[in-house]
Amino acid sequence: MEKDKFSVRDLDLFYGSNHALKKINLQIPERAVTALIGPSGCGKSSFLRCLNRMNDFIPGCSVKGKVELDGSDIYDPGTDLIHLRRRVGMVFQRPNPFPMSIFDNVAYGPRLHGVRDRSSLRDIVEESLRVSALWTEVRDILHSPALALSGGQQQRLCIARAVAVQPEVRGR
Amino acid sequence: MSGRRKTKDRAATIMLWLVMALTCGILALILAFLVSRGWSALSWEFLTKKPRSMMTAGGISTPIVGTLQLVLVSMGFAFPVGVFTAVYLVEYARDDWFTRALRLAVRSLAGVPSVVFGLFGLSFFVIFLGFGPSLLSAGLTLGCLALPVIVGASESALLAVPKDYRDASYALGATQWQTVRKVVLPSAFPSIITGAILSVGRVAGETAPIIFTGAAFFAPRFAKSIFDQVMALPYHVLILATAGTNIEKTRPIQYGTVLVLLFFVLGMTMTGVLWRARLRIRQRAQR
Repeated sequence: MEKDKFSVRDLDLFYGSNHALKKINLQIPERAVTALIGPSGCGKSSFLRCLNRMNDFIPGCSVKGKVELDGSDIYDPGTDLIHLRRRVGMVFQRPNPFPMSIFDNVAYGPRLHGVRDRSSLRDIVEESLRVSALWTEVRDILHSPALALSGGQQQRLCIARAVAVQPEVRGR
Repeated sequence: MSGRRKTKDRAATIMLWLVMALTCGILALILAFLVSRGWSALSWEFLTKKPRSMMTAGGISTPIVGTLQLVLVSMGFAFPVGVFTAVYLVEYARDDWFTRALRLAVRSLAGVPSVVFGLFGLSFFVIFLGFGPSLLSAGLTLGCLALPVIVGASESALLAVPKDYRDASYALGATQWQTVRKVVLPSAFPSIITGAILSVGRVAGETAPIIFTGAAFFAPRFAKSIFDQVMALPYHVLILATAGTNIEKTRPIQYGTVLVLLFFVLGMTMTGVLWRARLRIRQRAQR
């Protein structure tokens, strides 16, 4: 039987007094692609940000309800946010590569979590760039600036960067 | 009425051009005046030999080295303290009354007259902490003077780093310190350095903060320890102009010293301004 990776129950999201998300109830099954479709401004990004607690960075934002990842509520006070954000990867609407080389962008995540060995990093970078269909285009220019890539390439780079930390869930 | 409009437009353009010419003219006048009086004293010997015969002859190597030492000590204090204060204000501080008071305090520091810094340095570094008149006391006093400039420039630099970079970093599971250290600070660094260069120019030319705290009328040797006193270019100008033994004879040396100081300060300022302009163009192109 398919398990639910995420189980969202009675989720309310407020930006100050603005009630942005109202009583969301949603199951997101594992090993599947779930798409949220809606008009611009209806709250899709806001909802996604609830799943990895990126809304914590927005002052005045408050969340009520339960968001369970593999059965544990991520809004529990004891939640390890670093670990959560590594498990739940996110790519943003606008490409936002770091002002570094392509290699350093993809290697950023693994380096954060302690990977130092040069050859391991090279393997991870290659694997991640293959997954995001960018490897063949950049394999010879890995150490050139990421910002020199086209918009579409930059977004694929951001996907590779998110994938490099091997998240269990990918949101975009 | 388009004729009237055109005339007004031309008149405004001419007026603005004249005002600009006036400003440049003042600078040109100052430079011409100083260069004409001090040029004769400049030479390789002037820059590399120590003053002799009660400073009526010889060079100004001791004040040059002294000024460089003061710059090093003051920046050694003000740069890390200033940059990390800005990091705290921009990245960590909550928007409450305490943060606002802190910002106000730093800004107010910029308006304190330099002689007041000198007196503070005297009572705190020289007397209370017991460092005595020394390179350390004078350098720290100058550092306090440079602090608000560096904090201001660093704050601007940090605020200019796009929020997108921080979001991307956090979404990958970075801690706040990792994000600051690996993404925000490197991105802001060129602008921060520019602010530091500009404050070097400011610090090198200050006289009042160092008079009471460590500038020496005459020192036979370069300062070897941080507790030695130092000669300094702006102070050297002051004593040559007012307290020298033979003011007429030392006049060319006095102006020569002014020119050396001026070229150093102008050089630093122009480097800072030009580099900052290049950075801004590059940053805009990346957007």
